[in-house]
Amino acid sequence: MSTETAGEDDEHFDPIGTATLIGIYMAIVVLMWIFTYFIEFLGRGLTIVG
Amino acid sequence: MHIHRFEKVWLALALVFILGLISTIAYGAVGPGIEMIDAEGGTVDPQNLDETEFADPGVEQVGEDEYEVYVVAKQFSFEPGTPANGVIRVPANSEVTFYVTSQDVVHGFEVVGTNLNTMAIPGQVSKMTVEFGDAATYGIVCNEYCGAAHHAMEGRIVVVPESEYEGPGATNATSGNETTTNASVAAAQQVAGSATEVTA
Amino acid sequence: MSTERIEGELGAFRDEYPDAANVVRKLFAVSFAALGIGGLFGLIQALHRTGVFRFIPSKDYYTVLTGHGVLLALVFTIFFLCGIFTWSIVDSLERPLESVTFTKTWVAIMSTGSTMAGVAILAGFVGEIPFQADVLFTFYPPLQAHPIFYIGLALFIIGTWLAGIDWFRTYWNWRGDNPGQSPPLRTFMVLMTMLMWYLSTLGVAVEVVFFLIPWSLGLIQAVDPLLMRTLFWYFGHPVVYFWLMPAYLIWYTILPKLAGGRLFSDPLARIVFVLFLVLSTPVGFHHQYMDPGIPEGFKFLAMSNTMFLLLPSLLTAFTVVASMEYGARRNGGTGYLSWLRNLPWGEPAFAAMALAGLMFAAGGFSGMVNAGMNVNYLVHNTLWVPGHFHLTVGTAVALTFMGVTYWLWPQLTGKRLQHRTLATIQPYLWFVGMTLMSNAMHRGGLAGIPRRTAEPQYENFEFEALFGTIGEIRWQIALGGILLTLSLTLFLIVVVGTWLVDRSAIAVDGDLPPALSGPEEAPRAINNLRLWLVIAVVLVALAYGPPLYTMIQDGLFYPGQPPQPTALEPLWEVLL
Ligand code: HEM
Ligand SMILES: [Cu+2]
Repeated sequence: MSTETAGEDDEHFDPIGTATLIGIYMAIVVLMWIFTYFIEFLGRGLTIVG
Repeated sequence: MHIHRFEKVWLALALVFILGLISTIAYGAVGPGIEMIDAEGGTVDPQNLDETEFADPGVEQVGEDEYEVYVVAKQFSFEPGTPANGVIRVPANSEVTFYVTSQDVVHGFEVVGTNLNTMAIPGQVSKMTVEFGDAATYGIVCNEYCGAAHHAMEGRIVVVPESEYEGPGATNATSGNETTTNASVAAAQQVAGSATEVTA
Repeated sequence: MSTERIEGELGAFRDEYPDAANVVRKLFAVSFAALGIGGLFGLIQALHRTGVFRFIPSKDYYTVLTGHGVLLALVFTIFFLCGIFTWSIVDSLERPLESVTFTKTWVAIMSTGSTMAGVAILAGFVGEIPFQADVLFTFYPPLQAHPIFYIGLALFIIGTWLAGIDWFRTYWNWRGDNPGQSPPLRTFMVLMTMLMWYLSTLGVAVEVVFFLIPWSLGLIQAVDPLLMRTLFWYFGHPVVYFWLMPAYLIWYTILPKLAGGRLFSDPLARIVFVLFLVLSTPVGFHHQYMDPGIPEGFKFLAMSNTMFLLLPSLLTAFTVVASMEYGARRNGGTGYLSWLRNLPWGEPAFAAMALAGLMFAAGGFSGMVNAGMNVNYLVHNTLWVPGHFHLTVGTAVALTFMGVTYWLWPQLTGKRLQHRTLATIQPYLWFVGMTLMSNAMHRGGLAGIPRRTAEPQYENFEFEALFGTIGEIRWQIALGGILLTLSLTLFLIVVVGTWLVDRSAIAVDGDLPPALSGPEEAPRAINNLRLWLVIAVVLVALAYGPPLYTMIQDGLFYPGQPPQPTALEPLWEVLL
């Protein structure tokens, strides 16, 4: 392992861009999940109930 | 161990999300009452279906608006279901329980465009109850590869208006006028025939 | 890792560890040959099943499909990852191969096994040869292949077991020389992946060795199809992680460097791999949600485990993207999203991996739907499913492997990467092709179009698309398939072209920077392999013990089914 240590800047690195991207992704996924489950799936005519 | 606070927040959110997914599924089971195919159908000896309730598969009336349908999947048709074996006929607004098994290899039983979908596994019985509404025609397709003519394995469920329903006996091909489809099934069986030659 | 390799110098991995480089090159060569043939089969499928262009009879479609599945999902991926793992162990522990003979032995066993399986599959095209293996890569009995198919598979798996022993042995020797040190991240990842692999291949090994081989030789009459499916899927889901964990290894250790940064957190990467070991195997029933004969409770348990298996992937998404962001900001990136422009999109290795990650995010969504127990009724065995896994194994893994090849191949051959323009276009072409093919497959699946089917149309009903039209879906699949095959061709041209040129300065810096938060910050327990293995075994016993017990209670072979259709005379009778 290298002896190089994290510098001052690194300690204070806040991945705000990553948080933004992941936030957008989660919003899309949650919406698509709701659509797929509640509209597409539960909206279908025949469903096994027993 | 140093974990960035963003990562801690993300970890918490991810866990909430996962629990949310599981809760949705649980809601589907408890709210709308969706049941999974399970072990309830029991087992049969696939080499001796003649000695089981699958000896003479078809539709049976078991209550006022309740029917049972026994279906045998086989290379490369459904009995009943595929027109040559008689399509499945049930009246509108009925509760129908399907019992599906296979007499040879693993097949699929998917009613196209619906949530009726199961595997037909030799030795196992898939039991599933659905409620049919208005008169309609549904396609059945085998969705598991089952041999060289797998793509020819299909069928139909016809939901007829209650007033026109002639009873469960009327499932054979002769009772409907299926001239066009009979021809296509013959074609499919030709494919199947030549395929067996190749694999034999 | 600490070895300094000066950029542009002739000294490459090849010169430091010539034997290891030689083995990795061979493994990659087999892998890429499988990729080429498998990709061609994929094109035939995409054109045939959409009715766009057909030149084989539909019954042969399944021979092609078996070839595609086995060559890509097993041969391409596993040979490649054995190469990556060998490189990871040697490079991170800084030790040459312990025994070249031993290493060559497992490579030879894996190759022999794949050749046997491959011959059995390809013979399916020739009616006169009494061999066939038209059973697809899942080989569900009672469909039966020729015994050499199963024996080949068994050899292949045994080869991977020996490979694991090779890597473990190197690690143990290293530990002897470096007492008390935690294993380097890449080594840790390889070892965790192999523990997972040992645990999970038990299922398929039992299925093939104790049931299918004797059954195909006519020594036993019948096998229980449900039990066989269960043993297969006991292995069938973890194999997905066997493909994916090497891609994660690459994303964690190489991608940050390519982005101009370094890994955000080493301990977190280790935790992610622990979670994979522990959770990958007790989930196989999520491939059997639609199977009769399995109580709902076990399906629910598998579903919950599966959903928690999302956790390591979600954590990875954050750590890896943050590592890239760190690089982009060091290169002058600013803002919430404009830093994305400061990533090296013109570098083929980086672009391939980043695009692979992006498609994996999309595949993550369709995976959640697959995993969702009851919502699986909607998509089970429809075209949605290949739509999903072409994003995951077919892109997240495959494109990452291609990307890392652009970086590693020069170090393995000591040659400068050729045809840089083609290499730069290649990942984008794959991305566009896969976007077309995969979105159309997902929508086709929602319309009820089944997977594994040669014909686009049926007699008794018509498919109705919810979004778009069926005609347009077919065209997108065909066009996507064409672009993907084109992209694959570019990749192979670059690889072969590079291999064939003379040696020169390679212009690749093989040094990997340490993580921002290093391994010394991890809790000690994290490196306790035995502990994690025990927990994994306990979870597997809980998830599989009771249902397997019920399945075999009525007899190991009951309800049983002899081969259908019989592929050949039982060998046993012939011998007698
Ligand atoms: C040139 C690129 C590719 C094309 C055009 C292609 C096309 C296809 C198509 C159309 C199918 C669906 C067949 C069906 O269900 O009827 C399929 C299945 C499949 N593909 Fe690909 N594919 C490509 C690359 C890959 C890659 C890179 C992988 C994995 C590393 C992969 C793995 C699979 C697997 C496992 C199946 C399922 C086989 C089965 O159902 O038994 N494919 N492919
Ligand atoms: Cu079938």
